[in-house]
Amino acid sequence: MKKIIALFLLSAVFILAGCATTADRRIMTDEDFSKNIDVISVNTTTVGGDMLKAQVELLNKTKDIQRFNYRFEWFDAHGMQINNAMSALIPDQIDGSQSKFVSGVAPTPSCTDFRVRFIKAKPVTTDE
Amino acid sequence: MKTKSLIAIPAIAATVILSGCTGGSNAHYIQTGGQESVVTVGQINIQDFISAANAATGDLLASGVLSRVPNPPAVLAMSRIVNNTSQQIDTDLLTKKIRVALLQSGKAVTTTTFGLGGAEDPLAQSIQQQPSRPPDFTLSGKIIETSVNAGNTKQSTFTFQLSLTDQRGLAVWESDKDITKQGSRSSVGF
Repeated sequence: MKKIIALFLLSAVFILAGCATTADRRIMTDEDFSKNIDVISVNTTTVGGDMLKAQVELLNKTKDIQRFNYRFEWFDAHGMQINNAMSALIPDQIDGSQSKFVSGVAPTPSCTDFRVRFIKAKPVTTDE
Repeated sequence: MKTKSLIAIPAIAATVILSGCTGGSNAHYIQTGGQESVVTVGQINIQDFISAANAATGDLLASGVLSRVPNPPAVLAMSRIVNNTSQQIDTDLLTKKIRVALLQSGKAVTTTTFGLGGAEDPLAQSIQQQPSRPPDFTLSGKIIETSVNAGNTKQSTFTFQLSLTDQRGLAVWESDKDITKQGSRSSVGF
């Protein structure tokens, strides 16, 4: 009986975890980032006639502000990466227990796929 | 014995001084705009220009304005970008990144023979065979700095404003991107 309850609880945990986060192969995170922030959803659409736009929803699991950097990488139909000025590392932050959307627009109409990397921001010594 | 010591001491001192001169810099390459970049509160850093250009270009491409010209790609002329900050900056750090991204997108080309205060490329203008097509749009803007201090904390906001104006003189696309940085002496930035 105990085993059945344990299995039931374990299944419930997995189901709930599956609801809260996404295991999208296009989303890459480092361990420090995923420890504190969940990726809730990934959506794509076409904007400006023929430009792919991607949107990712994040949820801060902690009560503290979380700082991170992200970078969109874009690929054509052959899987070749398209490098351009828009493949930049963007600093961002998310308030405690809040969700946030980050989005990117493809640099060319030939982009058919994307990948986004999230990295927890590292402290940097300032000059002032 | 004493002579040997007298020779050894200056030699060691010279070695220490020389190694101090050469070994302290620890110079190395980093990725431009990457995580290791230096962040300063009172200045626009290269990662700020990259962020502002990235936001503006993505927004402009998503708006679809550039595709609504009779003969694509749209022709863009650069107008005035006003620097209203306390530092001397080359506004090309912002505009060139946008121009490059727009050119790569195939949505717009920038004229270099027509511009505010003369042609950007006078040689190209002199060898131009026929009058250039009038630009569909002009890009103008302003960079504004707002700084405040509270105790030991310093905060700066740099606002990057851009306007795309069509041949009717109407601003058909506008962008306003704020980048705010805060820090204190010997503080830590992100």
